[in-house]
Amino acid sequence: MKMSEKLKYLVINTSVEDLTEVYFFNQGKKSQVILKESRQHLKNLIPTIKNLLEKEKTKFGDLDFVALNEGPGSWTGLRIGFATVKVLAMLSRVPLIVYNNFELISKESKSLDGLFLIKCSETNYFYRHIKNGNIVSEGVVSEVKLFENYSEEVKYYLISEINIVTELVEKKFNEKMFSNSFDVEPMYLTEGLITPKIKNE
Amino acid sequence: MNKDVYILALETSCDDTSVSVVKNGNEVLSNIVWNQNKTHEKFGGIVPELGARRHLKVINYVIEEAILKSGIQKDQISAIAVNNQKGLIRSLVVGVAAAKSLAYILEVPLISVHHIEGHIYSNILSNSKIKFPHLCLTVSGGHNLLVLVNNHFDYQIIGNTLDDACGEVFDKVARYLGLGFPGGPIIDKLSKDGDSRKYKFSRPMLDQDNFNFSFSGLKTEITRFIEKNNTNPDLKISDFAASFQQAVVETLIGKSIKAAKKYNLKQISVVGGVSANSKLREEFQKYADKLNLEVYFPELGFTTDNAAMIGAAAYYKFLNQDFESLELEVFPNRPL
Repeated sequence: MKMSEKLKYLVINTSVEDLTEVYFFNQGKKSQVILKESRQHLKNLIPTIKNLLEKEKTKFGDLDFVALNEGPGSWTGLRIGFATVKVLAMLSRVPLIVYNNFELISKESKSLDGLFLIKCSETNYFYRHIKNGNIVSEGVVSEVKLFENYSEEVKYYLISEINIVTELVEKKFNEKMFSNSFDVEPMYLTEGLITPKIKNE
Repeated sequence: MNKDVYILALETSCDDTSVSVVKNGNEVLSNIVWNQNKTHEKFGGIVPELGARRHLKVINYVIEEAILKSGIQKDQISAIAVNNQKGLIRSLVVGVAAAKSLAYILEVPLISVHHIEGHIYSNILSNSKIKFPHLCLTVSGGHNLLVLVNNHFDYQIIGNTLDDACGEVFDKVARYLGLGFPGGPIIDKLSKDGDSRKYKFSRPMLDQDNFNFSFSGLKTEITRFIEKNNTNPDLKISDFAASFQQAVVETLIGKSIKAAKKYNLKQISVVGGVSANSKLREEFQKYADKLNLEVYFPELGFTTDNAAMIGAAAYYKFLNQDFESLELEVFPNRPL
């Protein structure tokens, strides 16, 4: 994509309970910090953003946009990401773009087979099972059921490993799909919002 | 200090989203409180997840309104203060995350304040006559302490509740009677037409030689009383409410006065949501006058949770340069 050669932006993901992900893209170059620490979004997020931007000699206000994962995922994780980024965007007037894990899965799943998992709460996962490019089943499943119902041959993908986010958020930027920092809210996922479709299992 | 200090303070510990700008620790330029009572009243109590979602939904509006109303510009803000101790964890994180973003973008220091510390300063903010040392009674739905306030940030807790906080009992009794939420103001209003001597309820632990409170026994006594008199046509709910309130008020006053005498303190400061109770104010003043003690209550707007009190306490931390790093976390259960 042509635009990316000029764009400067952050991508922030706090939807997974034990991962704080901050990516900085500058004219097509990527630098990133991924912290694997359980439930430490609040402690780590702002220092991570600050250190990363300082290292790259960039001020937050100089960004073309900031992209934030809106979920579904860990409620508290999302809430910390949102409270942080809402205020950053409001004060700096940097445009805000949100993207969600469904968008990531639906793009990536065309080329992959396996079970996609997003941790929604302490014991529950949102999952989508893909076989030969088709959705076999999707829904919310508890950790216990997950390991009871799926055999080892299924390959697991954690959402953080799916790396098509640049394409997605830059497309949104080009189409000016900005969110209002005052009103934007996480995608809170609960059982019931998704009807599990169990096929051939 | 010859330069004015403007502190932008946030308080999101429970069900109120509040942001305030306080000048030099004593002048409240704005104090926006976004109350969630409507969200929670149908449940008869606070639902933590709902509360946290509500905080997140309104936080930018409340911050902007507080700055706008204060009349100052963003670049005049000297520091950001936030309550990160004591409260519901899901709610606290919203305020703390927002506070860190503010401190980072505005490039000003970050100050942390304990929720109860904030309440103690709500009265220092309201009454310039309060000096150190003084005795502070904190009463709300979440805390019920007797504290010796020796100096700025020098506290000694001498009494605590062994079970429920006083405000919680008001809420529970109101809920049991189907009167609504929050219970304190409802029972206060009902009691105005009632006879507070009509029914005799116990004054828990008043005769004991310590400064602790316990309200769960009284709560059980009250619920039993309601069950027994449910169909009694002669029972006037206002008499009942007034009698219940009297029992609570006398307990709070009795314990506080005992403590003031033992520690030889002339000034008693009463803070927290229950300090808005009209009967408590009236009776406390009566006792204090009789015993030649001074009792102080915050302005009504500063009794329930508010960010102005956080800003007032933070001012003295600002003077001490008691600042936090951007790694600040929340401590929902940390004692004062």
